[in-house]
Amino acid sequence: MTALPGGARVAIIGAGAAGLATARTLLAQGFDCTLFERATRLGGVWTIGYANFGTQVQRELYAFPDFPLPPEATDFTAGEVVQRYLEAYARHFAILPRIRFATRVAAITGGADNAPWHLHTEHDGDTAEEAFDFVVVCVGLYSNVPHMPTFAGQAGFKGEILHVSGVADRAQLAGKRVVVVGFGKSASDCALESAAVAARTSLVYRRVHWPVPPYLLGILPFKWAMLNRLSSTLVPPYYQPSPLQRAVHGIGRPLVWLWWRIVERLLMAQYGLSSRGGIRPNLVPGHPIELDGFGEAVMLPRPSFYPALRTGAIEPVQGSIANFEDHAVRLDGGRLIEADIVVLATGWESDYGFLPTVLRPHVVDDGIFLYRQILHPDASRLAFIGHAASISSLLTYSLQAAWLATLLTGRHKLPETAAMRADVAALTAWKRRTIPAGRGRSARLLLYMQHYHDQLLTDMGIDPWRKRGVFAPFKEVFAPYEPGDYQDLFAGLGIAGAASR
Amino acid sequence: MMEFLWLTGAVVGGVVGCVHAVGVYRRCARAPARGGLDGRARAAYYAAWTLALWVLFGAYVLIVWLLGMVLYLAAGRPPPPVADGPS
Repeated sequence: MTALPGGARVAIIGAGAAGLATARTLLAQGFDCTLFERATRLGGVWTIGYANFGTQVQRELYAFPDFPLPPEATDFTAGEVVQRYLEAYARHFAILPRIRFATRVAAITGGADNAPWHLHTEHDGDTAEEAFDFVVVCVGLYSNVPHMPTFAGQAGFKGEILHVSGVADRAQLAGKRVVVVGFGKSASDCALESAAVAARTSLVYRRVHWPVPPYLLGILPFKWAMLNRLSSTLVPPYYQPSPLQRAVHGIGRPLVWLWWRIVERLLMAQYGLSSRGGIRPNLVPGHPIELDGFGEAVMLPRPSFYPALRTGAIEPVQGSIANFEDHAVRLDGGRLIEADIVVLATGWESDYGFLPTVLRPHVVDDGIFLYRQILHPDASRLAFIGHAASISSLLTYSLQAAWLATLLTGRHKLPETAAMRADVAALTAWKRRTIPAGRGRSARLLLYMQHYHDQLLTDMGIDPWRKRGVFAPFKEVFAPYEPGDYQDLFAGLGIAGAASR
Repeated sequence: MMEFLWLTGAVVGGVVGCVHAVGVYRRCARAPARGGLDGRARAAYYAAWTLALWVLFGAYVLIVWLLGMVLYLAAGRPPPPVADGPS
């Protein structure tokens, strides 16, 4: 891929967090950016939140590295606060005038042999076609179409079947017998809302996940245990492991194995997961925590979630729905649960239908696997930003955008196409070996966030060890990494430290 | 016994720390310059810290490794967890 000239026209599809980070970075490099947003507001997923919607992490982890959070942001920042933060970011960096709202990109054509891409858009019933030198896809992992599995007998169900996105207010659930299906973030949020007002709340799930508390043992913020270089060395090795990681997971395997078993025991004790001889529900996952950190798991449940399960405010029921009856759901084990409302917290459909034909064959059940989660070797001049599920996603998107900006301005180079293909193949094989199956597996990073950020910075010719001060070497091992550690990269947005053009 | 473990841990930590410190030195010396120290001085500083931390924590690492080895063998040497392949 060759560098783009200043003023080149760049289309950014999506004005969510990833689209905004991309626009901010590319505008600062002098590119002429246009954002296409199908909704009438910016913010992506933050515009369509359900009741009790918010982040899953401490406040400082969900922030852009170059834009401070408002004082009203708290741990588990509420969705509307995040939405306002994104709007303030767009205003501050003069992105708003670049956004075309209520404009859906229906298809992308052209692009062969470095020819411009043609975007086919729809707005208010009108269609248009426009040429761009570069396209950045920032639509996230999923579309706004709910994933609604179908069940036998549901047509005859006399109650309501809703997707979790349809529960905008807890009043909808007041006095009802509610069954929430799932054990992910949205399921736990919705079950808590229901427990506050419903006559009865049951949570039906196929398998439980390991919870990660905001404070380990009620004392240590989770970021100190999960987001430092020491802990990132103890997770199963990345697809390009360092010699240290190889040694730790080779001769050091008994130590690593014991470490994770200790973590599991601590979580069992902190959350009271065991059944204690059958006097309360057994919530101990049947799989090791090393695997669970990368699935569609509840990473950081709200503090009141597990107490609600233990006390019965939310009844945990392990199983799958076999069929619906008039006023109930029957599980595969035969149990009948009476219900007025069934809430499916089953995620969203992916939508890659607008991608150019050259990329569509590469979209598989677990998503699309990309070089550095950003580029596909078969599509030059088209990139994905935001196709990366991490714990500190605004930081990840900002670093991806910085990586793309330095690439497009010629400050770092891509390897040969064959080497990129080999890298993608290695990444794909590793993810399928390490990360549980799911529609977002290709994008999932989570506890590998640090490895990924290091890769991006190394490509840019920037030292990934960001800690400063006399104790920097100590902090590199034990202190958590968070957006503030990368702030200086974005100062003035020359991408400080990157190899010169 | 504790003194023996402490001393052995410090020695093992020192040996491992030396190897790790060499790796850290090489990595830091290659990294782009940043901050007040020049590349080699910064690399030496990081390497010294690496060695010191290994010597300091060597005994703890050794004890956890030995305990882990006993329990790991008792658990039948479970292989690293593997996900479920292509979806």
